[in-house]
Amino acid sequence: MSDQPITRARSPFSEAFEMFRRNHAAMAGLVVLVAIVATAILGPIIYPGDPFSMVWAPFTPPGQDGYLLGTDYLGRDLLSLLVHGAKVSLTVGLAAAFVTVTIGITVGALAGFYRGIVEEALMRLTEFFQVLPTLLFSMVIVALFGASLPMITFAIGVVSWPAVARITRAEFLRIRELEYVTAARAGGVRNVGLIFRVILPNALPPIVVQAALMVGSAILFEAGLSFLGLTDPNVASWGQIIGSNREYILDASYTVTVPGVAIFITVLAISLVGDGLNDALNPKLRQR
Amino acid sequence: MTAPLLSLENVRVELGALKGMLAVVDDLSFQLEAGETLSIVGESGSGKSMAALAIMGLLPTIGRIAQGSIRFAGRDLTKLDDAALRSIRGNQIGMIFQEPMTSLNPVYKVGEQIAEVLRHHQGLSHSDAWARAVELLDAVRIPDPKRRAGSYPHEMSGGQRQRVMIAVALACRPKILIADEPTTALDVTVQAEIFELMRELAREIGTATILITHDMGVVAEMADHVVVMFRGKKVEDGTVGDVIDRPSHPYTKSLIAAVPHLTTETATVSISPTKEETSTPILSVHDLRVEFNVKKRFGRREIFTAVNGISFDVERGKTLALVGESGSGKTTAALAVARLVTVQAGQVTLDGTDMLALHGEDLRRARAKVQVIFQDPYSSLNPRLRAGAIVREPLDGLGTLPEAERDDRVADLFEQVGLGKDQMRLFPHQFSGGQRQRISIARALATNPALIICDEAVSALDVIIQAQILDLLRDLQKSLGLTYLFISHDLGVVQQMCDKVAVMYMGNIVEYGDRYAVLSTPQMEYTRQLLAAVPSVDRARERGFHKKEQDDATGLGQLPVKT
Amino acid sequence: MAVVSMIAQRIGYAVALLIAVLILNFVMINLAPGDVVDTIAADSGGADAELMAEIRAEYGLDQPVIVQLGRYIAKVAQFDLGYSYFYNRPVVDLILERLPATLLLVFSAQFFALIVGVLLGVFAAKRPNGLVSHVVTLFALFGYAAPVFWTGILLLIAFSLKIPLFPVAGMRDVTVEGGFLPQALSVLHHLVLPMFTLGTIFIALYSRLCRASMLEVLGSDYVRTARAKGLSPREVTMKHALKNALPPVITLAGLQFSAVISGAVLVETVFSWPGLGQLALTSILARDAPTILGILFFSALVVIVGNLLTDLALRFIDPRVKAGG
Repeated sequence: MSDQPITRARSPFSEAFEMFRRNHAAMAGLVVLVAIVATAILGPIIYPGDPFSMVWAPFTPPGQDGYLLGTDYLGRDLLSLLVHGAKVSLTVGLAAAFVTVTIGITVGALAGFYRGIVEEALMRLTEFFQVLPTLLFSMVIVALFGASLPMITFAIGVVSWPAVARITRAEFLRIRELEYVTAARAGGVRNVGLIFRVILPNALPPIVVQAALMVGSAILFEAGLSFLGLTDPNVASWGQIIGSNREYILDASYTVTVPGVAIFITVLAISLVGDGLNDALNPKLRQR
Repeated sequence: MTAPLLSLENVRVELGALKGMLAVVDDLSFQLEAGETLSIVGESGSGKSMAALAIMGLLPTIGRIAQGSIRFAGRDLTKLDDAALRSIRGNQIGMIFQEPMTSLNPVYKVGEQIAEVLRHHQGLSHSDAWARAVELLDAVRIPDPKRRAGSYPHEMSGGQRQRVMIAVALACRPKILIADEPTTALDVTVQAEIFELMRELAREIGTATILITHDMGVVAEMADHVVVMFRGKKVEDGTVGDVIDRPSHPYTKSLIAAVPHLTTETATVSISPTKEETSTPILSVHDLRVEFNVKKRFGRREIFTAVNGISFDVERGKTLALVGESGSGKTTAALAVARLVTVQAGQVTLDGTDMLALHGEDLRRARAKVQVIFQDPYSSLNPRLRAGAIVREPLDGLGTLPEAERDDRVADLFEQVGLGKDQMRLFPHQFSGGQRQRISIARALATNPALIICDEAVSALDVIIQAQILDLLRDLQKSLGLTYLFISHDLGVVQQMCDKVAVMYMGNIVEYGDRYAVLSTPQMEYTRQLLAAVPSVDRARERGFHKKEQDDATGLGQLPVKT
Repeated sequence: MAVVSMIAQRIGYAVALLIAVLILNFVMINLAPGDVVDTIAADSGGADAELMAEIRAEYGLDQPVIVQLGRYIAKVAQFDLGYSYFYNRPVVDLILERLPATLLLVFSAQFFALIVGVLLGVFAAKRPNGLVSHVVTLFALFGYAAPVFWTGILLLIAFSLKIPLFPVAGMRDVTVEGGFLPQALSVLHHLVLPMFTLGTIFIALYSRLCRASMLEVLGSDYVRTARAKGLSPREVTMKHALKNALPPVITLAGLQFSAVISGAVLVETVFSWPGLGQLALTSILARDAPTILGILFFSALVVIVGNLLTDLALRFIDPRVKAGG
């Protein structure tokens, strides 16, 4: 810590980006993730056709007869299912994570900033949602209100937000006691400004990391629901492929393992990116 | 003459950094004789703590002793393996640390934490070790030691915890006690008690002490022998009298200058009473009362009175110091004036405005009249904003200037506090502690407030930087006619800065008056205790500095032991 | 004394939470399209309007909503969760029959994950760049990213089909004769794969947190004090550091009870483990609302009990919990 003047202004953001770029695992995760997203978007164009149509003999092993990943119990092309399923799995993951983070930040920020009765009420609500087993609760929602994709997204989001709310609240509780918040208050910044312009930007790093992980969790969640058969049977998703072939693992284990690998790699990539973000945004590793 | 108890020769300690190894202690040599007190003095980062950890063999994993020898009882500690070092640590060399709040293990009873050492090094049985632990707690003057041995650290005050740490360090009657800033985290009256205890026990056991500190007053009162360190190197070495009366290095001089000269304050140095005394005060506080709801479990609530009906005035262009120890309510009182905490009762008139009558938007606008400079240069600046934006924040929030003029105003402010305009674009983490405090000052000046509250504004800074910031505050006061409400626990700083002093104790102002009157001829018992507890070079010099046989002659012995 | 009043307070809070679960249940049934009677009618292949109205009156469905809610809560208080038209049995009986299997799976997986996770975390923290540390990191990544049902299927293929070490399905071997011990051993034999499958996610979670927590504690002032006392590395780690590193891990484990139950639903399906999860799936596919809601109620109860146990464990470990709250 010397007094020599530094003239290059390096924002916390650009420093974080530098840190992230130097993290090989995180960069690898990012590359894989980009590839998967590209597949999801471009896949159906490169690999057109209805994935649900029966194209060859059921249980054709991978590599045989020109089917790279083989066919499932109905003789559907597994590769086609996988490529078309990517879009659904990723979309549901992203959308559900968005719902989760929106509810979570709102509840957590209000509870952490206002304290008193607002905090009490919101934290009781959070605890209530944490008492309900997430998967069971969303199974119930889907079972009672129908297994459409929007409903599945909603069900995942509505059961997953407490984790985000807790993190947000903890950060708000910590930051609101810091002197720069008091200084901002002394400087005439209004409550709305304190929440959104002073505290929230400083609270974001752990929330961003959690949000990234939430996308992965939501993909796993959707896969779990689909595996149980609680999904729209007319839309291919990775979990749905596993779920529909579940009965045949003795005859053709690849029909289950291959889509599993797709989920695994995707979530792994997200998690690596999340870890990289965590390291890059963690002030403990950066400061002083 | 026999060989010294401990001798360091050309010790170099390196820490692994991003670019190779970094020497944090370089070519350090000194000797410690049996039974004497050696003080190592320096600012943070001078390498004094690393030197101590090197002796203990407790360097962090990224650190190593690159060269030199540390000879203790005929052996070179740098050559010993870990098992041999462990038999010395806690047994023949004991150590106490700066932070009593975190240095004890929170999940074990304090008795166990003492007994453990005795079992380990002396092979005592569980019951014998516990009985001895109770005796040791008694020796460090913990009241009701039998019961307190069963307490957990969080059930004790900071001073009591440091006493327990002393009991741990001295349990095996070590030959050397290393104390690394043992009282820095404690209030000044508690500090006096801890030092007295250390001195007494060290003499009783015949332990030599290495006392690491940044405070020359402490050195003057405690040490026989002084080593001054600056940026990893020894810059001064001698008896305490020599070093203090004839310092050779400029750094040593500035350290000595930072110690308050409370006993030598005379009426001529204090401000002479002028006609201004009769002018109406810019801030007038009457019967201010602040209470907190301490929420207990099971819905029971308890009210804690932080400020118990205090009154004071501050005149335009002057500085009033609110002085007191932690928990005295001084910060709460000041923040109450700025309406940054909820006030229960009283009257606060600032520049003609009744501050307590304001609500909502009116209150928000009135905040332009009073700004705060905070203590912690790290947490008082929003890390996401550029320095310029931080200073601009109150201008935007309070709208005291047309939008177009704000950037120019910020640039002017940067100049006023001694920062460059090009630094406006930097982020807080790119500044040093002193520079950050300058940004804080610029932010406080932005709205031309009638009153600036300095809440321990220089406490977190090293002495040299501290002096620079105090100079800046004084210059600004002179050129801009600022009025300060100055909160501090450091009487040396108060002496340099203030015109009037209010001494707070447990939510009340116990003494209030001109600086000279309060600091030189205190009327109240608490003020006298507070002043007597401040380590003083002058007092030590009067006594002919610390002589081992003169312990009982110190003023510290007369302090009542707080329980 | 303090513990007793704390438990009393927690039980009161638990009851409030359970009532909230009931209200939620009730709201969901009322919001869902169609009612119980429609379901019965559909199951029995259609019924005439008069009969349906009769059944509605019998079940109080013609009453105002608030009265229905009151009745519902009162019935649950008497341990009556309704009647399953699909199984033709009271829901409580159905659940109690399956509950032990789920409890066994959930709690054994939790304990297994906690013990293994903490051990891995401690070893990893002692050598932050060592082999165990990398294994923990890899395992944590795997545990998070692998869908639990997929892990289960892989293990099933590997250790039941290819190398037949463990049974493929169920909870006990009906051919096993004899007293308690052989029976218990048979259950344990069946338990291994499901427990391990469910445990992996949480081993990953706990070992990672334990590693981070240990690293932080090992850098703390009181660990430095312990070293300054001359204690051995083993004493420093196991006595002074571990006990301080545990509370965050246990807190996390407490928060995971609902996730463990969720995972159990999937694991039970893969291994045909006869627990609540299987019951939930079949009743959901059959749209058997009373059973589904009963399961939701009971699983919330299990989570609450799990949380209470967590709190007690924390109070046992950390004396500050008693004071602070």
